[in-house]
This record gives sequence, structure tokens and C-alpha cells, in this order.
Amino acid sequence: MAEAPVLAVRNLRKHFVQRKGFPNPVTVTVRAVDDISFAIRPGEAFGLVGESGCGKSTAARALLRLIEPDAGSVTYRGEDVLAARGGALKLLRRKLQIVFQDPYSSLNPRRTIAQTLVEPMQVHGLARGADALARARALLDEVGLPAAALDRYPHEFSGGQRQRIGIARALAVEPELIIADEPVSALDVSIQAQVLMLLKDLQARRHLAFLFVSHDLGVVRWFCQRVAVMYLGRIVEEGPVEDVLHEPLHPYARVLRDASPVPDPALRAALPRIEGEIPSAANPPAGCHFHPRCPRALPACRESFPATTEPAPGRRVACHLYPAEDRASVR
Amino acid sequence: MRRRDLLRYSATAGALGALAPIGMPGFAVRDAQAQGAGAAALRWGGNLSRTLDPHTVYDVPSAFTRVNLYDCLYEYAGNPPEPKPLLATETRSSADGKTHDFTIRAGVKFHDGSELTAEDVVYSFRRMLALPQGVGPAFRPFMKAEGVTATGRHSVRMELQFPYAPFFACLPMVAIMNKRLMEANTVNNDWAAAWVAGNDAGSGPYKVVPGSFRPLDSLDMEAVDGYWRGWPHSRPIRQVLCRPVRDDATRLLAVEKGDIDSTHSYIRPDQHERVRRAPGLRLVEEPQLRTYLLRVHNGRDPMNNLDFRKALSYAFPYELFIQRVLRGTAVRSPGPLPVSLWGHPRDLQGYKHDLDAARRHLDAARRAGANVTREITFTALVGFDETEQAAQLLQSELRKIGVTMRIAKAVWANAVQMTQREETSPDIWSHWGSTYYIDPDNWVGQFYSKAALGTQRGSSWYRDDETDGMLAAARATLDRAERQRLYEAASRRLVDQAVDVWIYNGMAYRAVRERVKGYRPGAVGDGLDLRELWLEG
Amino acid sequence: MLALILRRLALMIPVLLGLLVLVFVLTRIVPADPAAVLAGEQASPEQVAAIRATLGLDRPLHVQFVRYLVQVASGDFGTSLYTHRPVVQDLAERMPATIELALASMLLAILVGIPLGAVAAVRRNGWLDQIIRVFTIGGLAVASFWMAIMLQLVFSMQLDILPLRGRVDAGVPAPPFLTGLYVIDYLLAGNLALARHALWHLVLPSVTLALPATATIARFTRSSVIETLQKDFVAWERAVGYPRRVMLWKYVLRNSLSATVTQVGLLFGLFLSGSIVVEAVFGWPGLGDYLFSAITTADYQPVMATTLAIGVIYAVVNIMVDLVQARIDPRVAEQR
Repeated sequence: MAEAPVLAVRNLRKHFVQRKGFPNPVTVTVRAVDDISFAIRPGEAFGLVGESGCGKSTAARALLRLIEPDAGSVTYRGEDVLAARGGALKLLRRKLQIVFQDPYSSLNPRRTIAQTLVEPMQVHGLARGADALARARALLDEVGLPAAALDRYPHEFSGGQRQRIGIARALAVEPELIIADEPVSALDVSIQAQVLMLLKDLQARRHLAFLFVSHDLGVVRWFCQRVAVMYLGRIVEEGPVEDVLHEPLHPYARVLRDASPVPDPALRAALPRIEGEIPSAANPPAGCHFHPRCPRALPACRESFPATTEPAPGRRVACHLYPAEDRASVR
Repeated sequence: MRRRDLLRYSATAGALGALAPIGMPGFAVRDAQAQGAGAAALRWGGNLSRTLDPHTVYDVPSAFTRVNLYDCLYEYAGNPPEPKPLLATETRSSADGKTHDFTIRAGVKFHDGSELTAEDVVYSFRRMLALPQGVGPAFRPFMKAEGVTATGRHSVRMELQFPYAPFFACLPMVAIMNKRLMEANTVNNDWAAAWVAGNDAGSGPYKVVPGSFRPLDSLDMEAVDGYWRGWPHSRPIRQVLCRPVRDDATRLLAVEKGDIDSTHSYIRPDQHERVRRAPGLRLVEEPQLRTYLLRVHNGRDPMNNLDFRKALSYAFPYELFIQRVLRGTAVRSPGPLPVSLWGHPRDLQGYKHDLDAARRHLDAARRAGANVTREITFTALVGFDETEQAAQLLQSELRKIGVTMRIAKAVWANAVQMTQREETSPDIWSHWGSTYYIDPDNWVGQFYSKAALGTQRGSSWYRDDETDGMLAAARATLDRAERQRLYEAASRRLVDQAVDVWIYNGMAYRAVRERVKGYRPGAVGDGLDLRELWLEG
Repeated sequence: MLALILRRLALMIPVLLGLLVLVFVLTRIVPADPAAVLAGEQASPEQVAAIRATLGLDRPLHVQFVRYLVQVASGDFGTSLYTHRPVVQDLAERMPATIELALASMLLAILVGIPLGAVAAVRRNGWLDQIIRVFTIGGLAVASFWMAIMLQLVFSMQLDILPLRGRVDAGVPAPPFLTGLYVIDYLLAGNLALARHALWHLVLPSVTLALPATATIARFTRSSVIETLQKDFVAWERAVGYPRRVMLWKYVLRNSLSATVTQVGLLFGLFLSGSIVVEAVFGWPGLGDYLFSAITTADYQPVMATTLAIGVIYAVVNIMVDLVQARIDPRVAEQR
């Protein structure tokens, strides 16, 4: 790789164990995130796409330790995020920030915008008093909101404005990487574009890296340089956005691509249906999780989960269609 | 600390742990007790009246304050109690029984130091007669205010409108009040009712600590130095703190703990053993003239049929009720009068539980056309479990002979309202026949005279000229032997007619701490004479 | 804020008027005749009728009601038929007792219930949560009279560390009337020993009364804290590295208390109604006790006035709750 990654995730795993039922409870293990690995380079926007329930949001939260992962490693510039304690962890929390999907639940309704922006600076000792307020004002300006917003409460703003506040809040601690968890999917389409423009603008201006979690291939295509496709807790394909979306290798990535709205009515008519029901992550099919729905399933797909291969430079896929002879396993 | 105490202590120590951070409150309690009343005070836990006015309320708890704050012309004395002169030193009655001259004891002082004179007696009787509630209604039928006059500084004449034999038995109902004090506190011609409801204007052995009275809740009284009747014990009780306990369970705990020295007199039979076994406590049995009876609506089908009423009388399981429900704390009373009172025929058998006899009379009633298949209703009193238990027992016995009875419930005030009209009056309900004045008239005269119709006393809707005549004649003559003959005859007649279902004469039970000595129950209600008491230790 | 208070006070008037109508109708449709009770068992029907006429009870209902309103409007709450005492005097003596008990219970319920609920939420499904769950279910299921007796048996009879009943022991003088709350009045009078004495008398009744409320508050707090913990802003606060304790108490709890505070207002009604039982068991001379004996004797004036007083207390408490609500939640403040 040309440059050392700012964030490297290896074999990250998060299983949820639940005991359900009465009087005879049954233990159910939901493999929300099952050994995923990827890396993000400085200033790069990395997309993580998949249907809802595939584990992409869990992965985002697990690598920030909002949910403690079960296994794997997360390193930020070579530093172990999962093992960090005390001051080191605090610094990491500064460098890795998050923007949430729901602008309504992501802002504390009892805090003014000024408090929301200033408190993180104080927590990290970046600024206090008038200095902090000045910085808050500058942040609002940067995300396109007037300074008058400072004394107001979140409920006085629209969804788009709130998302801008959420972004400003993330910026308040001067992060290097922002995890954007479906940052525009809750917004009106007209607002989505404005917020995306803002993010793009910030990425360029502040040289921010992004982990961009989304189900919307169109948005990812526009915003990201590289993308990973997740299905039932695993990454099935990864590579440069243009390549993956233009010519998907994995049958699931292809189905996903074909199912996503494309601004071309001629293509839309030819949309194939994804056959079969979406299996549950609590009880994934044996072998390749996708095989019951896969139009090109082989007998081997029922037997074992395919290893990850690299059929072309910079592209990786986990599928039995791409045999092991020419694989360069990441493991 | 004994071993058993230690075990108890450790068993509860866990719970104590929760309190440990706030210190040891026990000491504070004792500090405060030391600041307040000493151990020399009697902490009376008997019920307290709603008012201290001795004229406007006449019930069990009001006797306590009436007897100890006030004196009357007559009091009840002896066993069985008879009316005996108290403030009156001499009584002369005319031959026709209408005019009575009383000589009033000289030298009796009210609590404010003024002397009690004939003027005060006249004022008290006129006030009693003027007020519409309480004692007055018992006197108004035979006495007018102008019939009471002072004939000297210490002599009073009372003229009745007609001869009324229970008159002397009624005299202990009328407390003599301090006229001067009362008039000074009269507002808007209210006979000082508002003021005297919370204060006393008496000459009795105790006086009210000003401002201490809270209706039903608390009252402090102090002994009156130099009370004219004197103090029988060398160290009488100087201070009485009345602190009734409303809740049943708490009341027993309070007397066990010594927070109060006595309870009210309604300790339930199922609590007797507990009181007997508790250290430092004794259970005092107070004989009562009070009767308990089921009132039967004689004016309504099928109860207007004699055989149906007899079926009811034979159906009630008297022994079961007295032994099981009351645990033997009462005696069977076969007729309308208390068994220990004169006028009750000693040989009267009454009815016993006999379902065969009940069936025979029911058949007879059916043949006579009585509507024996109608569902009849027993109205039990809310808050008086005994009435409900009586209803349930009767219900199950009646079911065996094929009579259906429903149990309804009403609060006392509601039941009283129902009994005022024949149409709304219950088929069957039950109440106690309490003592107002100790004379057969208090029971048989009050319940079965035609004059009682339209009140709860007349709720049997019994109209019998012969009985009414006997009861009227017994009131009109002062000849005790003749009166006794009349009451016995009336009692037999009422029993023959199975007018009501008479059940028992009760006992009252009160838990009293051992340190209270000299305790003797009062003749009427809670009217014990506190002068006789002293505290030991 | 002042405008808000005034507006809410003005709104109270129709509510209390409605309450009066309701209670008036309820007391009158119960066929209990105060005149007959007052007259006593010796009275004749004519005497009862005379009393009824004197009291104006023979008039049509609407006439009686208008008379009552005129009377209340002129500040006269009548006199008790039986005690001849002005009802206002009785209320002045008894209302503070009930308020003191209710306030102590509320304080206890809040101080115990909120932390319990918060701890249960943070340790969700842990053993501490299970213990608290057992406590809350128990607290709601246990009948208060049973609880009262158990507390009396243990703390008063066995351990002899807390008084059995009453506001003070027999013979202990009441404090000079300032607030009517004994603990405070003794303190203001400078008598520390008696203030403690009154406080110990308050412990058992207020614990009894507070128990179900504590359980309710704990349950509400638990579920709303859990709900708040799942909010993204809490996730963000963690992501940015806020200290855990500060976060929980300052941010999470504050955002979770809205439902709990509303609940406290409603629970105050529970304190007032529950006080009938608790006041009877502990011989607490409050409104519950007073109302009970007035109802059983159809003493209309005290029944009406006490109901009104309880209504006023309840309404005032709920106005206070609204004010607190407005302070902790900016959204509420703006809506008013």
C-alpha cells in the first residue's frame, strides 16, 4: 500500500448472545459482525455498504468501542484502540469521531448548541471560556449555521440543521477520521445533497478520513473512494468504488448494485429480483451465507464459507466462483 | 438481655442496618418523653366523642367526658345499676307522679370556682330541652322548658306533662352546666354549643386542659382540687391524656407497648387470648345491658305472617353464633329486654335453633298465602362485621328450609335513612339496643311503641294496640311492681308474636394495663368514674 | 414563569368547581340522612324533620348547591354538624399533618426511587437489577396496611427504636404554629430534641406510604434511563470520552426524568389517597382520618371542604411539577 492506513480493522467480531423463551430459554447467538477486516488511508472516504441488518452499523460502533467487540483488533496509526486505557483512550476518542443517522436522537435535547459544542472541547482540554465559544462560533460558520444558533436548543432546528450541528460537534475535537453512520439517510432528498456537499467540502479542507456507512450505493459512489460490501456480518467484496460498482465480482454485490436506484429508467426496467428471503443473522445458512439467494450457487457454496481472494489488484472477494489457485489470501 | 431477646434482636438486625446511618433514635424518643408527660398521667385509649357538649350527643364514648367533667342530679349506682341521687339531696314526688321537687346540694363548686345553684340546674334542663339532638329527644315527649323552675337558691321543681316512670332513670343523662359561663360564651342564641363543644362548664372531678380537645382524637384532663365528693385513693390520677387509637391492630400494639393504658371496650373475641397472655395487660370484662337483635319488617309480605316470622326465629342458629362468632362472650337473650334487668320474665324460653319447627311454620305460612318464595333482603351494617356474620348464618340456615335471602350492606347513616319510611325500611336488618337510661322502657318501650314508627327504633313496623297500651301504662305508673308485671307481659306477647329475632346480651372487653388499679366499668357506656383509679409503680 | 403560574392557577378554578359539583352530587345521592344521625336514636320523626329544615336539607338540591357556593365564595367552609367546630379550623390543624407526611414520603420516594432505577438501568439484567426488580414488584404488591403493621412490629415493638404511632408522644406539646409541619416548627422554635422526636415519628408512616411510590419511580426511572442510554447522543457522549459518572448523572438522568417527574405529580395523589389507611394505622391526625369519619356520618360540610382542600393540594403540586418539568426540559417551557 502506498501510505500507512490511518485505521486498520482486522478480524473484528461482535456476537450478541441472547437467552429467549420461557420456561425453557434457548440461547441464540447473533453473529452481527463476523471477522471483518479493512483499512482506511489518511484522507480517504471508505464506504461500508449492505442491506439493513447486515452488521455495518454494529461494526462502526464496535470499532469505536461504543459496543465492546468480542475479538479482532482495531489500530489507529499503529495504536491498539481496543486495548487503550485512560489518557491514550481519551486521545483516540478525540481522533475518531462519529456522526449519527438520526439527527433527532443524536443531540441532547437539554443542552444548548453552545453547550453541545463547548463541552467536548472542555472534556479534551482544547479550549475553555470565551475561547471555546469563539471556536464554537467558527464551527457553526464552517457547517453553514449562524452564530445565533448557539443559545438555542436542538428542538428549534430542522433535521438538516441538526445534522450540521452534529457534524460541527464531531469537528469540535479536531478528529482525523469521522465515522459517518448513514449520515443523510434520515434527511429529505433535497437536504441530503447539501449535507453531502458539506461533508465532501470538509473532507477536502480538513483532510479528513471517513468511514461512510450507508445502504445507498448512489451516495457511496459519489462520496467514497473505496467500498466494502457486507452481507450477514461478513465482508463479501472490497475494492475501489468505480470497479466494485461498475463490475461487481460477488453475486451479492451485483444483486445489490442492480437493485439500487440508478438515474436511468432504461436500466431500472431490467432489475432482477433478489430471490428468497433475507436469512437471519441469528441463524445464517451454512457455507456461504448468500447461497440460498445466489443465482450462481455451486455445490461447494453449501459446504464451506469461501476464503477471501484477490482476483485483481486492489480487489478482494469472498466467493467460490473465484477459485483458490490465483488467490492471495489476506490471512 | 435474655437469650430469646438476643435471637429476636439478631433476626431483625439486618433491617436495623438500614437505619444505622441516622443514629440511634431511641434515645431521642425517651428524651422527649421526659420533656412531656410523666409516668403519672393516665393515657386513656378509649374512644373519644366528637364533642364535649354533654347535651348534644349521647353515646358510649360521650359518657366518659360527661361523667368525669360534669355532675348530674342523679347517677347510676349499684349492681344492677339503679338511679341514685347525686347533686340532689332530697326528692319529693307528688302522688300523681307529675310534680317532682329536688333539693340541690349546697357548696358544690364549678371549675371556675362559682357555686352550683338551682339556676344552673334550670338552665341545664332548659338547654337540654331546647337542643334538638342528643339527650333532649328523650325528655321532650313528657317535659316542657317552662316546667322546670327554681323554687329557691337550692331547690328546683320539675313538672311533667304526664306521669312518666322512667323519668328518674333519665336524670343521669343530664349534665348540670355553669349557667354564667355558658351565657358568657353564647353566640347567636346557640346555647354556647360551639364553645362548649371544645370546653367544659362542669363541676365534675376533672376539667379540660384548654385547647387540648380534638374531636375523636385527643383530650387532656386535670384533676380538680377539692372536688366535693373527694378522692377515694390517696394518690389519684392527676392528669388524664386521652389518645384513642383508630386502627384495630395498632390499638393492641399500643396497649402492649404501654403507649396507652387502656383500649376501648370493643376488643374482639379473637383477640382475647392475646390480651390475656400479654405481659402487663389484663382483659377487663364489662357486663353490658346492650342487646343485639334482628329487626324484622312486620308490615311487609311475607314477614307480616306470624308463621313466617316464627320460621325466621327458629332458623337462626343462636348457640352457633354466640359460641363461634362471639366465642362465648355473650349470653342468650330470648326476649326484648336484657336478661339481668327487671321486667324480663325469668322463665321466658323464647326460640331455639330448630329447623324442623322452622319448616313446619314455613309450610303454615305458605298455606296461609304468604309469599314465602320472595327473595328477602338482610341489610348488614358496613363496619360491623358481626351483623354480616349474623346475616350469613341466617342465610345458610334459611337456604336449608327453602327461603332465599340476599345480603345487602349499608352504612349506619344510610340504614337510619331507610328505616324512616315503611316502604324503604329493610326486610331484615340488625342493630344493638344500647343503654340510654337504665329502665325497661329504654328497650321494649322505645322499640315497640307506636310512637317509634318512622325511626330506626320502630323499624319492625309493629302495630299492636294491646302491647302499645301495656307499654304506655308502664310509663304512666310509678308502682314498680305493676311496671314489672306489665313489662313481663309485654315481653311474652312480643315473643309469642315473634316480632323480632332477639339474640344476645353482650359483654364488653377492654384491655387495661396492670399498672392501672381500681378500675371499675361505668354503668352506661364509657362512663367509668376516673376518681377511683390510681397508678401503681 | 409568573405568567405560567398565573395561567395554571386560573385553570384550577373550573377544575375545582367541577370537583365540588361532583362531590356535592355524590354526597347527596347517597341516601344517608345527617339529620337522623345528628338527632340521635331517641329522636322522633318530627324532631328529625325539624333538624332537616334547620339545616336546609329539605330544599331542592340546586338551591342547596348555590347556597353552598355562595357560602364558600365568602370564605366560609361551614361547621361540622357534630363537633360545632369551623371546618377551616379542623383543616388548618389536619392539613399540615397530611402535607408533612406526603412531603416526607415524596422526598423519600424520590431520593430512593431515582437512584435505584438509575442503577438498575445501568446494570441492566445484572444481579443488582434483579434485586431491585424484586424490590419494586414487592413494593407495589405489598398491601400498605400489612407493611405498616410489619414495620410497627419490627421497629417499634421488637427493637423499640421508633415510635408506634402519632406525630408526637402523648403529653408532648405541639410546636408553635408556623408552617404546621412539626419537624420544621420545632426546628424553628429551636428545640432540636423535639424536632428529632417528631422526625422519628415520621419515619414509619412515611416509609409505608413511600414504598409503592418508590417502586413506581424506580420502574419509571429504569425504563426511561434505558431508553435514554440507547439514544445516539449518549453514544456520542461516550464516543467523545465524557467521564462516565458525569454522563450518567448529569446528562442521562436529566434526560430521563421527564416521565418520572410527571409520575411524581400523579403519585402525590396516591399519597393523599393512601394516607387514609396509613393515617389510620399510625394514628396520624391528618385529612384522611378526618375525611373518613366525616363521610361515615354524612357530615357534608367537612366532606366538601376536605375534598376541596385535597383537590387544591393536588392541583398545586401538579403546577409545581409542571414548573420543575419546564426547568429540566426546555421543550416544555417553550410550549407553555
